[in-house]
Amino acid sequence: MEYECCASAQPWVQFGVEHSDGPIIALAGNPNVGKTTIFNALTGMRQHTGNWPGKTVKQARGSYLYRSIRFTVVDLPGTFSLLSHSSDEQVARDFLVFGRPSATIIVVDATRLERNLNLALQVLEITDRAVVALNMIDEARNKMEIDVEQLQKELGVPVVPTVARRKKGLDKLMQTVYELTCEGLPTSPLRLTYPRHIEEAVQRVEPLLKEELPPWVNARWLALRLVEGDVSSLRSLARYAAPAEKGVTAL
Amino acid sequence: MLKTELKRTTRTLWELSPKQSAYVLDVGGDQEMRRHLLDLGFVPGSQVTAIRRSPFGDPTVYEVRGTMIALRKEQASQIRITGLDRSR
Amino acid sequence: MKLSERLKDDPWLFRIASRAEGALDSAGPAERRKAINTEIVSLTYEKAEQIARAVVKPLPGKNRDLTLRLDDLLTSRWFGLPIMLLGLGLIFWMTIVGANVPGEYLSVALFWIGDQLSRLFQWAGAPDWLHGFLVEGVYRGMAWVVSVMLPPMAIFFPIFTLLEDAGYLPRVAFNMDRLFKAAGAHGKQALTMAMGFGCNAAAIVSTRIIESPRERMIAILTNNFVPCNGRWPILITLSILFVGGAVAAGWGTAASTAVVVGFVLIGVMVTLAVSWGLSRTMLKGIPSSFTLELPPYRRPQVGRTIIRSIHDRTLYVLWRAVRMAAPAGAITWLMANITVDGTSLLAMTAGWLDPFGRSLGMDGMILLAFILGLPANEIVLPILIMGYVSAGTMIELDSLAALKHLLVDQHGWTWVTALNVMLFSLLHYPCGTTLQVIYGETKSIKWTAVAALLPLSIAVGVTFTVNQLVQWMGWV
Repeated sequence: MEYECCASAQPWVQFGVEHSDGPIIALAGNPNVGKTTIFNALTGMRQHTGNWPGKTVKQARGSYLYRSIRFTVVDLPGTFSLLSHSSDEQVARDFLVFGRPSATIIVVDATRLERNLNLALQVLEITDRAVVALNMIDEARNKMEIDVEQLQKELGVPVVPTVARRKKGLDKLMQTVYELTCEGLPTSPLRLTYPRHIEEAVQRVEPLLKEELPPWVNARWLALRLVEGDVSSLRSLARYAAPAEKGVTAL
Repeated sequence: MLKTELKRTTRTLWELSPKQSAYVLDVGGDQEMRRHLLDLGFVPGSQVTAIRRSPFGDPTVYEVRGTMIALRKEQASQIRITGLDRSR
Repeated sequence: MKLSERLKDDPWLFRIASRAEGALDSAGPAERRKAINTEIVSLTYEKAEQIARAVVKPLPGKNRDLTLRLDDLLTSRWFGLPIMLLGLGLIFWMTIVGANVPGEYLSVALFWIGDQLSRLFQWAGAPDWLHGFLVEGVYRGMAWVVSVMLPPMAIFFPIFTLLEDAGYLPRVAFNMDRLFKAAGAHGKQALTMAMGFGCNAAAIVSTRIIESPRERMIAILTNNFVPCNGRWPILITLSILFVGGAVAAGWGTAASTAVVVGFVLIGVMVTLAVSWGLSRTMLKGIPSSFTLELPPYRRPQVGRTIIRSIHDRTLYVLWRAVRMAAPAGAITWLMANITVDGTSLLAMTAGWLDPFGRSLGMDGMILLAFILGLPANEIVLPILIMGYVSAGTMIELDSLAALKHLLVDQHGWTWVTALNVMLFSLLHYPCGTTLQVIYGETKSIKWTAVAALLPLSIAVGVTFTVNQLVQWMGWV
């Protein structure tokens, strides 16, 4: 069975990404992990920089061809987390939650795994179409041993070691992205279980949200944000996912 | 004896001297700064070590969760710590 | 305030929030929400730690120790700042020395091309004025800017980027932050300021690293007070002429380096002072929260970095500068060659500006050279010489001695004149390219205007004061 490489009717235009025939891949990660190096290595000269609509945050997009399919890559701003209020983090979060990329590459610095996993775990709470690029694996091997298989088991998504500076591991990365988007590669991303009182609250709120929200929005994630009282996520919700007939402005 | 008693009370990260370690108790301040500090790793229970102060005395660089982060007095004073010990 | 109340303005969100609050009957107090937020963040960290521990087995830590030991030196109380200063001097020295020979070759090559163009025009029987306008004006303006701007930038920026790659730059911000905090600004401004030594336009782009808009604007508005590569020649030439006249051959570059460093220090002090002033007046506000990661040092990738920096910074600025220089060359040529009653427009305007110029310790021609040099600082000195010599085109003199003769003997320059010219060059408005970039980054005409007028008024104020003081004290 052929898996659809590209779901239809995505609100990418709102994010400044033109409609594309192929999958749209988001590139997420902490600052200084080599994300831009990976971006450059994948997209080469086929790049285009601008700003995210309505913000002063720079956006870079590009594309590459793999097995005759054109993959568009959107480079998200480097962030430590997705739950703060800085413009960078909001841009990254909004695109992941409401932009529904076909897949996300989470770039992780192998030499600073613990710190980088913070963002990775947050991304995995939002989407299950993800692959981790374990970058700078060469530098890491000088100082530590990393059990990549174990990491893959723990995270529940594919982990591809890369050395972006030397263009190593990119083929496997593109292959994995292809499998995620076009062959329906199954993943079971790690989902955190919070302290009981939070989980109970989420359980009460989630069904309500499922009633109100379009089906493609991650209701559990939003429920957590509601319980937390995160106004910013809700504002983005209204901006990108409000039902049309409510007359709420989309842009 | 009195000295060790004093050390047991909660103090702020700013008061931690270079080469001393402690554990984060809580983070105060306005919401945005709080979240940012939490995101950087100053999460309750994390071990923090003061490394050194800048030539002018401020900011100070701290090691937390394997990363070195420099904070000004204003931010470091918002992080309450406990369990002061003289290790390292 | 309850969540639903904060979302009152949006009916849909309000409904969602209200329903949620109904289901929870305790989503209210902000304290509670803050606690939940902390719990959520903490859990993520704990899980990250747990996974890392399960997956990573550290080998005896070499790099961390190296970083700690290097930092013990580079950010130490006694050595940190002196090392920074020495490092700065070293970089300047390398830039000056390295740009010397290539710069001359480039100059010769470009002017040779200019000569060929002249021949071409002659052969085609083109009218004098067309040849003058296009070759002596437009082309020469561009050639001048390129030959002065390109060599030092092609050295300075790669070095700077290598330092960045190696991880040293955050240490600079770390060392300097206290000064900037006292001025109401951000430690990272030290970095954008350092970029300004190479090129102000590129430095303005780099202010994006400062998150707070207010502090970013301070960095943008004050960036101009450090001399960019384009202003080094005028500073070096004039100071050698007037102070280092007796400088022996071997010490030439050392003296030049010392001069540039000296003016940079003056520029830094002005930067801090103006930042302080701005944060009390036009850009009032509280210092933003300052957090800075000090990454471990790493070996920079020399080849790749150099190529990348040349592409991103050097070429980018060069292209814009050339675009500015073409019209500048054209206008200058027109001013120098259109005559009214036997006097060129240039001479006329200079005469008209003279009284004002003299009050600042300079003269009308000097001011005019600065005005015409708005598009690019590199052409100020050539225009000045052209004006003094009444040539129809920008020229350079053969030797320092000839230049000294021109300035001192023929136009009455004293050391005060030179000093004021150097101060004005240091402090005046940013060049056209920079202003363009400022507008691009701020999208505000108001602030771009401030970026031009603020330094200008300071430059005028300072030179005026210096001049009056010197006259009053009878030092001249």
